[in-house]
Amino acid sequence: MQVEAHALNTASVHLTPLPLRVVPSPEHHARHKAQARTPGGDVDFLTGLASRARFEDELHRSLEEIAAGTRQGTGVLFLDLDRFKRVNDTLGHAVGDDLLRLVSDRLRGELHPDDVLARLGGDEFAILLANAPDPVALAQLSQRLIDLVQRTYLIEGHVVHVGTSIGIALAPQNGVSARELLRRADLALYESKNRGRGAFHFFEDEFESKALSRRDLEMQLRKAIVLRQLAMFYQPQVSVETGAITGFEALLRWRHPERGLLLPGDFMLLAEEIGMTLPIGEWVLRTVCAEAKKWPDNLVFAVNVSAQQFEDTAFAASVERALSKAGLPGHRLEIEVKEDVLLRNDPSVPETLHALQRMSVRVTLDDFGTGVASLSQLARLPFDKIKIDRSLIAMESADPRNRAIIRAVSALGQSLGICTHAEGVESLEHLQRVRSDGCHSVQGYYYSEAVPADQITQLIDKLKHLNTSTE
Amino acid sequence: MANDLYRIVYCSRNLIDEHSTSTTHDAELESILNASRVNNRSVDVTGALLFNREYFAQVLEGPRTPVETTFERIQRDRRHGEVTVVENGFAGARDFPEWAMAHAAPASGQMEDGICATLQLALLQPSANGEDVLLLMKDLVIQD
Repeated sequence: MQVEAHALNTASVHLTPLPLRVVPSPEHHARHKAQARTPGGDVDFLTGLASRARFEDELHRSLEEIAAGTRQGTGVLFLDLDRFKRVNDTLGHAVGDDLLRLVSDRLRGELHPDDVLARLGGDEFAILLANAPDPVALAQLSQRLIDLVQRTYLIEGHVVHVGTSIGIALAPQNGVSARELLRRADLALYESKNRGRGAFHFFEDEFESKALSRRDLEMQLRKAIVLRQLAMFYQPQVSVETGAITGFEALLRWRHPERGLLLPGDFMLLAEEIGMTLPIGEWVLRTVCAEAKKWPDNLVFAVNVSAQQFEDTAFAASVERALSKAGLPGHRLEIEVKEDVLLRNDPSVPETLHALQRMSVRVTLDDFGTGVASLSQLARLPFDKIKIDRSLIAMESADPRNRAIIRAVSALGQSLGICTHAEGVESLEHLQRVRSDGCHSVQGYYYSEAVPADQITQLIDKLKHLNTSTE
Repeated sequence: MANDLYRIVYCSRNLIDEHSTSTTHDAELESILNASRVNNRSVDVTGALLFNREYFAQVLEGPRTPVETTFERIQRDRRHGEVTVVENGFAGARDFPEWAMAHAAPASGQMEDGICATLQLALLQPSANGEDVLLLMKDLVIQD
């Protein structure tokens, strides 16, 4: 208890002395102080904010006042922290708790004294507005909250970063019952997270129908593997020097009975939410290894792996199982990971990279140049190949800065023994450009789109022909 | 550990209204310096502040807890943004022992470009350029 009190003290040295400013009456104040001692009371012990129970009480009261005509309206903001779990996992719960307190203080500082700020649990916060909200002001407030929360934290010598997403529902416009309002704020929050996080959204009616169709899709995705609706498509990768096929990138498709051919972007986020990334990932590995086994020993098959999958401690073992089940030697398989794997700084990442290396499985850094990966990280970790993102290739004007990046990456790759590969090569002009910039291999529509497994033979023939005709 | 000498260096972008006249702008900066001197003295934090129309850079040194608390207060100040910590860690000795908050002021207008370039680089690649920012500020304070 003493430890807790001390921690709360240090965190609030220069802050609001009272954890809660919404105190309608002395009686109420006495009541909530008393309840604060009991679990499930009015106050969230960790942050000093209102508890979920208190928040719901206040919301009911506000809605009653709206119904009685004594209040014009109110608004509910739901917030949750992006990347909070990562902080807890890597820096420990004590740092995680400090972070929650600092976030609470930053939020509190931006609000009206009569707004109710609550921690609903974990890294979820909610705000109940004291005054009938003006949408423009509310949008500005949301933007300010997002900006403040995503600013750097220094905690116990660690530099910590999180972000926040916000969903907003207004009463009476979006609902007059607490349940409806909370659900709609939650749907708006989902929308914010779904659109890349660090954003806010006001509830819109279409979120309801989206939620329904998401639930349909979820039911269908759960059955897709069993119903054999998932399929791998293969896009050839070609050596710049010889024009020969060096291998294929395997790309996941879902042949949806009503919606047609779906790309990973259409359903993998959903898969992650419902915990299906790992089973789908296993299926992909098994399927691609079995397919690769049918083709000559010099063709390498590349599989895309999500950060979540790659960080799973059992990932290397599942690769080993897939290889041995198919009887495929490790050098025939390539694992592609995106830059976000590096960003997470997870201790399991270098271990997994080295375990794959021991099996002779190659590892490619995908979509390089779109985000955060730095050249120094390339030098530190054992990648075999860098895939330069299509956005750097596609520029019609061949932006000199992009070309400078491609050249620099190629040169660095050369000195580190890492191959560079260009994606999105769509024309002879693209091909010639990336060749002169030092890339080793390419893929893109210039050669072929991704095709189903049963068209690989045909594709190989076609590319042989293209080769002879351009020579 | 918490009482060992701790130092952070950060850079940020100056968001004080760009349309403000240079007198009000300077007055704002003067008030930032004064406030930080008052706050820091009471908690044994020393350091230096560098600013121009585009950037801030600040060194804070002292026991770790007050340094982190001071940083948190600064972090919430909406007169700057893109706050980027370019260096943090325990230090052997204070670089600005005599200053609750030294004003690292460029000696002449000619240096302005060099300062902007250093801070811009630091914002882009914090880990690689922290040392440079600290050296720059030590330089400016000593000249001052």
